Amino acid sequence: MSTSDLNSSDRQMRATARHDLATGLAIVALAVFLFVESLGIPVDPEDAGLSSRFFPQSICGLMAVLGAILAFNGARGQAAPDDKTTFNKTIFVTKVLPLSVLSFAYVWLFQLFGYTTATLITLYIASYLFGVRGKALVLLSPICSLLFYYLFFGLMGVFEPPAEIFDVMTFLKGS
Amino acid sequence: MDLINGFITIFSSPITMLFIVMGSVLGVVVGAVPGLTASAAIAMLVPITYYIDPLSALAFLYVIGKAGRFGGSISAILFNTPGTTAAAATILDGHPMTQKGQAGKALKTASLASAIGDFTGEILLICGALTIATFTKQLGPPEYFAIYVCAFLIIGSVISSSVLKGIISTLFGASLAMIGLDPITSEPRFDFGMIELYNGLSLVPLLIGLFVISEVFTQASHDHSKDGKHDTVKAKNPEDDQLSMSEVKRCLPFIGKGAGIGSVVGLLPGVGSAVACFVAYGEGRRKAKNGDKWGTGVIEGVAAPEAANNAVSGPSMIPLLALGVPGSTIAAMLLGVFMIHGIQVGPQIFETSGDIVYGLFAAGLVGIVLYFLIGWFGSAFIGRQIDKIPAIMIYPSILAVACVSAYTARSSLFDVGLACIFGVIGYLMRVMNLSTAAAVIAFVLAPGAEQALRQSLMLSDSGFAIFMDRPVALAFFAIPVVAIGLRLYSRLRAQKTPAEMLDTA
Repeated sequence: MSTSDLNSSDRQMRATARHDLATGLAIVALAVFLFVESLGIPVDPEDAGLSSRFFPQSICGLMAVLGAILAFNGARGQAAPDDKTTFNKTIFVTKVLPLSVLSFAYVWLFQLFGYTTATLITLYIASYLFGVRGKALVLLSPICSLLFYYLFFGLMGVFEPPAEIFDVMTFLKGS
Repeated sequence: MDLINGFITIFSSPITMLFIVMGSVLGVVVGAVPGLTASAAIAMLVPITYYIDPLSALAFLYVIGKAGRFGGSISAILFNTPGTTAAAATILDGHPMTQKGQAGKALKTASLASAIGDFTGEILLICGALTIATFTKQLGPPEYFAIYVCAFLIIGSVISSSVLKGIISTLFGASLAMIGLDPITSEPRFDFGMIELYNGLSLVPLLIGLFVISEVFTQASHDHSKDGKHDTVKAKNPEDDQLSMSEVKRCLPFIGKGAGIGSVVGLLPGVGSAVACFVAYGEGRRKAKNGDKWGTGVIEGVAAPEAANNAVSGPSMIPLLALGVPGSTIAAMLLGVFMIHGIQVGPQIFETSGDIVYGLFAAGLVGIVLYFLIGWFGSAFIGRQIDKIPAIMIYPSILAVACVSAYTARSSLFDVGLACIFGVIGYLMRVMNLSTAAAVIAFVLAPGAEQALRQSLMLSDSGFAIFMDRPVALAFFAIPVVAIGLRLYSRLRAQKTPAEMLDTA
């Protein structure tokens, strides 16, 4: 193995260990949060066998212990030999975060303007974020929105929730 | 006889047949699109099955899973990119064959090997599931709890390159399953005051988020600007596009061995096609007379992994049908469909819903024939068409379908939001090398495990000591301990070897 290969695998291992530290701490935090929440589960003292809290609390306990081990190994700069994390902060912030915000905005748009308008807008922005340009960008979102609308709400008869503000399909069907 | 009735059931129902044909075509196409797996397609299509009869629904998804495993080989052979992880070993000889102008031969070999491998696995499923179910009928809650623990630990320890992260992933999935009503006392747990969480998390948004939306996010993080059309190397001779009888005979021993390896791997919970294909490739190469030429484009190198990855399909259903314990993500999703249609899965299923189970077996066999025909005659065409559509246009559309699919299941916008949240969680799990598949399987297994444990303790006056009186339960507890111990031991040995080499140097 050459020196550059060794350096690169060493760098990868250090990055994985750093990510493992963060993951381990997140897991411990989640386990503690769920454990505290589990204390609110009602328990019947006359109940035979195990209480409703036992299983959730056991899972939280195990998760906290394993999360702590992962974080501890990460803090020591250790990771399993084949364990390679690929998290990249820049990519997450510039590419994944906008798309995830868009997907949450979709739910809100769906509620306010109905399926078609919400899908049209979301698909247009998602296509743009993926790098679709030109005629395809203009055509893709209206074609897919209408196609999916007729497939799900027309053919399959899925219940279409009424839009809170304005639904273009009500207008089109009405005219 | 029951299987013949299964064939009669599906052939007498045009709707079921239509869904089997659609499943075969869709499975091959979805499998051939790089990044889009059969699991993701099934996750998106689970809500659709609310609107059709149970046999058509199960047959549709089951056949997609089978055809999808084969479909992955198309892009592996033609574009040097496996459509699914199951086809990762097919690249090694499949793409060099394409570069030599033998793409047609490679695709036909993959079709034949996949069909034979899948057929072997399906026969094992048909014979094995009923036999095991006869035995498992006698098991009680303590044995079931031990089986659940065994499945949890085996899945957690083999599904990821890190045992620790694999088990954390299963615990994460199990913790999500704790949301909702207690299975014994019906007390609400972890509902955070939200009425939508009172009955627990629905499987559909979890599947769509962890498998589909997270894949869209992963694809968004890739640079697709360098994606171009792949050059097609035309066959120099007409026989380069054909598979001769002598070549089939040459491949048969490797197909047989691959099918055997795939069938055994399929029985193990969580191991899956990706492992089977590499084990079969390595074993085939070791035994082949032309082993030194493997990797340069030999048909045996395509046949062995393709037979193995498809042979996994049938046996991976045995734990589900014989025990009610899914051992793979596709089995977990099918369990969801069984539950949606009110069918109790477990050893009794052969008596209570025998028509559906044997119909499903028959559908699997028909699906194999169909995807073989599609693969033999049409895989090159499908590959060319997929190559024409840029990935950047496919993934925004998938995001839109995923969102509407999440809504379709319960006509709930809350579920769409939940799917988006799990999309982000799934993306973070992938990049941190945690397993989304382990989380989903654990989510499905956990309620059964809790119920079995609590019922066991209700049966006993001696508490946890009840397990000590049950030899079958003890055997199941021992299996994962041995498996994890062996894995850690082999890792320690692997770490020690280079150190010893340095000492002696």
